[in-house]
Amino acid sequence: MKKIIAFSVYHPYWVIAVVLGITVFFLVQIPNIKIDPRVEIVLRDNNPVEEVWNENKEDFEAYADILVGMLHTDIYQTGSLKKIKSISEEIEQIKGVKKVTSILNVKNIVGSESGLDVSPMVEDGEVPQGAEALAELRNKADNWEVYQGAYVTSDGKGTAISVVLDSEVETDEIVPIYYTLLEIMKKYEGPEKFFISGQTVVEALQGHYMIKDLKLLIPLVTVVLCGFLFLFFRNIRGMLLPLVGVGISSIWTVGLMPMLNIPLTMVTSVLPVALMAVGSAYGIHVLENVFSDAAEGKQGTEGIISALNRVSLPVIMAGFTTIAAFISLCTSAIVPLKQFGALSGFGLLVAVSISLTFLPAILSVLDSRGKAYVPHHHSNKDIIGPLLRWFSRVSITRSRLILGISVVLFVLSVMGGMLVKSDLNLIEDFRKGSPIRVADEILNERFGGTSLFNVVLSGVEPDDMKDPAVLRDMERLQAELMKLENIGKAVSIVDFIKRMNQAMHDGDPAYYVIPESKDLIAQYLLLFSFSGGSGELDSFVNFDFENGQILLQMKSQSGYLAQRVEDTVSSFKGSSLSTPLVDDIFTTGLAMLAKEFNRLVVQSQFRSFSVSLVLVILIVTLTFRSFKLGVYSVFPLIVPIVFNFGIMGISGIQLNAATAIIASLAIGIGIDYSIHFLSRYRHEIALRNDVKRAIDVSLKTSGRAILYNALTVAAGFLVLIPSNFIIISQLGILVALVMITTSLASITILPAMLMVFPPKLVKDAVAIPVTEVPLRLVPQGGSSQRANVVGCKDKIDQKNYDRGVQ
Amino acid sequence: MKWNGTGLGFICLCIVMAAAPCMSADMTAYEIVKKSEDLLDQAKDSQTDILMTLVNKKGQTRERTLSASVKKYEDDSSKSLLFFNSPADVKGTSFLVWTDESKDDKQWLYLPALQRVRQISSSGKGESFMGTEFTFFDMGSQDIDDYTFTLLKEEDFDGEQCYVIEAIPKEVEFYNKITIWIRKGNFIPAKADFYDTKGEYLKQGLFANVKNIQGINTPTHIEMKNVQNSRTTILELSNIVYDTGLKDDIFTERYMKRGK
Repeated sequence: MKKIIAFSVYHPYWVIAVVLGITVFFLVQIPNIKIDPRVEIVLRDNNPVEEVWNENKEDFEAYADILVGMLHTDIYQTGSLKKIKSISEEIEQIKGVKKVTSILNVKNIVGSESGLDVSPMVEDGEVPQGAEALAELRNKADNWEVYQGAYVTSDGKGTAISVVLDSEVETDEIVPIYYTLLEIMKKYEGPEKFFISGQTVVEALQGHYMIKDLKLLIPLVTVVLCGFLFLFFRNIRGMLLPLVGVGISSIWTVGLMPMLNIPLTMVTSVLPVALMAVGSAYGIHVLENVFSDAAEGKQGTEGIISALNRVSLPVIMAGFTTIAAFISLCTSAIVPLKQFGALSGFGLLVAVSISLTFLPAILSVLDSRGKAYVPHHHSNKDIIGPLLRWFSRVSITRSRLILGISVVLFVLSVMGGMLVKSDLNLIEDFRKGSPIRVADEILNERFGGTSLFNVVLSGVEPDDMKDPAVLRDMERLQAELMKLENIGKAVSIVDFIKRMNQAMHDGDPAYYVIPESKDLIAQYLLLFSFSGGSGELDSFVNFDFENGQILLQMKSQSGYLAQRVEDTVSSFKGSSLSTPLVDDIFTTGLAMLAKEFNRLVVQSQFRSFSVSLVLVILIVTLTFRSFKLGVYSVFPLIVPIVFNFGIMGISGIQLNAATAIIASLAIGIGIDYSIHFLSRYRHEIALRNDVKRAIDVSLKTSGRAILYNALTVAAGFLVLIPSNFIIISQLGILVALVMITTSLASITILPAMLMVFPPKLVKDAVAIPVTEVPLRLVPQGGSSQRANVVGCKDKIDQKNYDRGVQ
Repeated sequence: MKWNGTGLGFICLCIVMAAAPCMSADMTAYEIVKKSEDLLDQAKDSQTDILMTLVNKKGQTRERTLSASVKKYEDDSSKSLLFFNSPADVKGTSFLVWTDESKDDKQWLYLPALQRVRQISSSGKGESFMGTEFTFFDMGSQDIDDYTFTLLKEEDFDGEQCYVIEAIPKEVEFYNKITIWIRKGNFIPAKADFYDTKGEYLKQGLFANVKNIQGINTPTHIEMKNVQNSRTTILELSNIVYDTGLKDDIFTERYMKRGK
């Protein structure tokens, strides 16, 4: 390490050139980054739920991708319908649009005495003129329930155009389509009102808003960090250099994404902000030590080298614990979380490396002095001082009470934590009042629902879906499903067959039933194909009629709703299924992926949590050569993390891909606080102080650093609040909260534990250096202050550092 | 809508597609197309057995067999009758079409399971014909004068010298452009590329196994491959007989019920 530092300082241009070269390399990769907000990428490729979903998309044609709704006092007016016609025609011309269906061109099946008419609702798409023709259209639309809630509302005040996209259309191509649609709507707006939604649009817009978010949040976090850094260093150099460090680390990390084929998702889009908030600590620590030394006269390359040699170990230590905790997310079955874990680990590694090479190189070129930088020899006069004194007193005198409160808090939090729900409901990620959410709410209220869900009946062999027994089961299941709350509509091939049967029997409503003969059903289907209707059925039956599906329109895409559908299906399968021709009934659709996500996110949360705990215990044990201290170090983390889940449970904040990173983050950063505190404590014990004394000194010195660091990280994450997504805002608030609680825990619970259960520590254990929290807005170890308190321990301190570094 | 029922109409269409002023050595693109059409359109009536195979993107297939009878009249009207022989559940189903100058064809369908003939309304020309990759438009015949033809080049296709002719409809309705390869040797089309109304490549027709039947060169393997949905429809024609003097009473409701 020493060699690397020396090289960086003596050959700065080499280091700068190499780092900048690599940065440019990664920078040019960034434009290749793919935005992929699709729900399906959340699960691993071999996830069975996703496989079923992909097979379903192969088996059945898409039914509707985008829903364009028009609301008016009465849509059955020539003027309004003309708008529907013109809009449909314009949408058809958009590249990527495959099919546009409205109440004007949807296939209608009508029987009469002379024959059968399967044709578009309105002949040649001519908009009906005159009261009579309009009434006839309304009559036709009201005559078959399949249209209700899909193309028209039963009150005659709403109509919808359903748009199917080419299957090759990529998610990022949908955003321009959406905006083209908005422009078209704008032309026709008033007095009719238009609304656009649909799962694909919601997904695509997530990606769109992610970019908007990044454009807003990265500058914001930069400004906040600048503010903090300037307040601390009081010079431009100190303000900019740590920022450059995390900037480079962010560029490398984001540049790595397209190379590894990792897309930008809701979770990975938090990376730059997270890296900047967490990673800046290392650069700050380096600069602060260099500036301090310079201010004390140790300037130039020698000064830089000696400062760097002193801080490199603490920085690396702190970096590794944080990296370990982040990397634990790689055990997650949720793909974006895994990616976030790996990338943030990489980013922090870069941040650490840059701080120890690039920054000293720059400093050696510029000058090691921080202009106007006065080492912060804080006395106890500021606000933190009395606070720390108070904490110290309470920790020492009321340690049992603190532990008692912690236990109570822990228990309460666990109870609150039980209430935590997890869901992957894309539309609810958007803020209330955002256009897409408003549109989606209105469309869901007036129509069947914007979320599609599939209940698939698989037969034993081809043509089973033409069998009357199968169709009757399907019909009953369909009726069962319609009873569920938030299911607005259910359509299957059954509706078409009943309608054809009725039409072939002179429109007699008594024949709106499934015929008894399988041959007749087959012949109806052939008949339908003569009318060009076969395409309509491709969404309901597969190629060889072995599988059929009931398409549900749901008012939500929640995994909990999927669960209710699945429950209904399994109870039907268990008790009501009448024919052996139905081999299986299963459910699929985006909501099913949400349900699977819910299961996995909880499981993966426990897994990554345990892995990171084990990892940090291991690291701390190795550092202190004491398993006991390893265990002690994680206790002050567990309470705040459980508390976080308690807050989530009580406030109704869901466990989602974003909030799932909080625990790892809290461990990764919080462990530094424990280590910082414990190393100081151990050091004081080694100096033959008693427990109380050691706690008091540790609190007053490292406590300040811990609080400052927590405040900085919290501030960094608070910039997430103005995000376009609620879940990202929540993440920002929760991380800020957990940083505060973790830092408080490490200066209350930890000392209390040491008081009540003092570990036996070797006296004179000087082989291990005092490990610092890198961001300390106080001079390391608070040297001057400690000089007052404990006397002349500085030399020993220095000795510890030097030994540790060797 | 003109209905020829055998896929023959489709070929005519393709030929119709090709015609325009061209700088070929001897013939204009229009003349090539015209000649091709005339050659294919010689018979007054025809009877054909058709094996129709639908292939989806996974390569799964579904087969139907049917027999088609077509009769043409002096006034350009025609009558066609389709009988389904398999699969078993639709055996005996028959479809009768009368076309004439008027816009609306008359269509009847006989469903044996219902033992009733029902008149059915004609569907849009752009619609898929019986779930195949052919549209009703493809199966009908069009006026050669609705297109502008350009001879692009001559090239080999499938081992035969072909004229490559581009047909642009004067009024875009279903296709934006059709490029068609017509064999130089017998003026029978070999291949046609269809572009949708947005100008994107939509599907490819292939006409192979040309057999001389009663002096008329007839492609007996017709394939339509939709590149946008990756589905293919294959028509294998067999037992083709021309000009047997089909009687008018074949093309009636009564005959439909009798089955084949």
